[in-house]
Amino acid sequence: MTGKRGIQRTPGIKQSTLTIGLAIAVLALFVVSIGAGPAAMPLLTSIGELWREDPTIAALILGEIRLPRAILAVLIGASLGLSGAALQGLLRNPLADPGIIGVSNTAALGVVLVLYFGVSQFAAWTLPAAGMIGAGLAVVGILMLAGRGSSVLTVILAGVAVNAFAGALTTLAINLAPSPFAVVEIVFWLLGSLADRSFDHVWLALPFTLLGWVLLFTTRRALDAMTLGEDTATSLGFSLDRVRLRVVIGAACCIGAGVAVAGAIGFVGLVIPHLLRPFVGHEPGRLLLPSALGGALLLLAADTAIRLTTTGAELKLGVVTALIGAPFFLRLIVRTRQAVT
Amino acid sequence: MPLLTTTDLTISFGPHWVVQDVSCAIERGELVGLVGPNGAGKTSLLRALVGLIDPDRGVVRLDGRAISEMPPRQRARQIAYLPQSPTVHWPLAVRRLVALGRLPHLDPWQAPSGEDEAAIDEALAATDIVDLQSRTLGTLSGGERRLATLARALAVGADLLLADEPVAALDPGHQLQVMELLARLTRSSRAAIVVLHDLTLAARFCDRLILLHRGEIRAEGRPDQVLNDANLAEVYGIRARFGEPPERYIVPWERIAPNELPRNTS
Repeated sequence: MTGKRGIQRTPGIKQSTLTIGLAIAVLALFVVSIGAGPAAMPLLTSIGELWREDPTIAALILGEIRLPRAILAVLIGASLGLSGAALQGLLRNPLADPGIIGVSNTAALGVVLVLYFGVSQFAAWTLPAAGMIGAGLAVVGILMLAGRGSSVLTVILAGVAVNAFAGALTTLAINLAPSPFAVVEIVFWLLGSLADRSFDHVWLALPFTLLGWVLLFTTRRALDAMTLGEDTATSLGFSLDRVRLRVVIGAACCIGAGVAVAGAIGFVGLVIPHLLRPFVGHEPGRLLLPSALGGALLLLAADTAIRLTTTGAELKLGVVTALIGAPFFLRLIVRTRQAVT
Repeated sequence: MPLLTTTDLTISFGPHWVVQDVSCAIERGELVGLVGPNGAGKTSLLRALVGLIDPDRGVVRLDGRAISEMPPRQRARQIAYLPQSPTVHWPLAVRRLVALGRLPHLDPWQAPSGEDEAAIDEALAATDIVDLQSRTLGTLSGGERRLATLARALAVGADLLLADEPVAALDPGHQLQVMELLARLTRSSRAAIVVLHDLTLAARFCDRLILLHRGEIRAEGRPDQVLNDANLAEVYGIRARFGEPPERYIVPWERIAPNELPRNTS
């Protein structure tokens, strides 16, 4: 659709080039990530040995440690980038990040409650379920608090309120925790990490994550129409209720599932769509796929860097993404304020 | 058969009636002006015609078919809507903005076809903004932005265009440009209903006017039949100066003091 003229002020990259480039980068980093680490890894041989009955140590490290961790980084990073882009399209707000508006923390609260009451010992699926319910309630809460056609800042304020509420209940859980051990476990979920994850975690998160992705991708045309406001989007044949429902359930599925296995990881959904938006001409629908790939790339890069650089106490992934993302958030707030005043 | 008909259309917000028993018919090839003071129900009526408000009573029919029973995408292909203050939430390039008008024609995973591109080109050409197509909206003047949003509505390629004050906030040159465009557009099989406050533009360019007052049709017909002294006094509370035919200009001249207003004889 770009035609011969292209888009002014857009960096000179075609969208297909961007998407393919990001996909190649994710793939390359994935290979680097599973190949690099304290234990030297003859990658191809080890992959071949993965399915042997008596795998070598290298194959064990690959299959039990590095592979699930890298796969989760891709799944969760993509979920965060995609959900961020979709929520921003739905709310028409560049500041709507699942972490900032409290979706991740409410999902974490759900997971913490399940851990707190020990339900997950009996059924592992209750973890992603609680995460998804928490995330879904957060998005619905924001939509209700902010109301229709609300301004950029109202939505963020609604998110802050939801975040504060989730935070209050989480600290209550910490406060009443039966043992210091339980406190450590709860705090751990709030920080977000991919350390020591196995394929069990991958299988737990995968189905819900994929379901969430499918739901979010089906809204792409509707999100483009939402650019023109709710009335015009309706006049173009889109049902607002259905778009909202699909974004809410889609974001809840993939963020809830991600939080259930890795805890709350913020700012990916803010940074990535913000960086990529100019490359796709600012259209929310076109932003979805590149954002998913960019999110996967960022989280994989951050986690690989953590794995390779830290000795002793490992930095938590959620802490690293927050350190990267918070300055972006400040910059966006300044720009939004300029646009409003 | 008329393109659009409404029968006893009634809309209320809570206890307040905003549109009452409006029955009208729009033929193909007609440019119809919807006039009336602020709060007369023009915007509500227009929103009901495009299906954004469910009326309390009455039916809107397009080509004989109730729009409430049409699949939303089919309705969207046949009725284009330009709201009173069109918003564009992201800094899109003009061509991308206009391309959004083609959304009702696209299946979820279908790329735009040559037909879509042709419709976009046509809409850009009709509004005379071909040169602006790769500019982002933030770099345009208010008038240019307005033309771009009108081009978006034209790109739908609908039989019926509903435009809510499309010339508001435009300079006189752009006002004439938009009205000439609408008149040209409706010379074929298309029709348009346009909300207007400028009575001269309404009188000069519209084939027919519908004068709305307190939610009801006060008068309907040729501009010179509708915009007469009695109607202007009753509906707007003003006296106007009229140009001698064929120069159909109307200049609102003075407000009528409340005690001089004609009694409501209806």
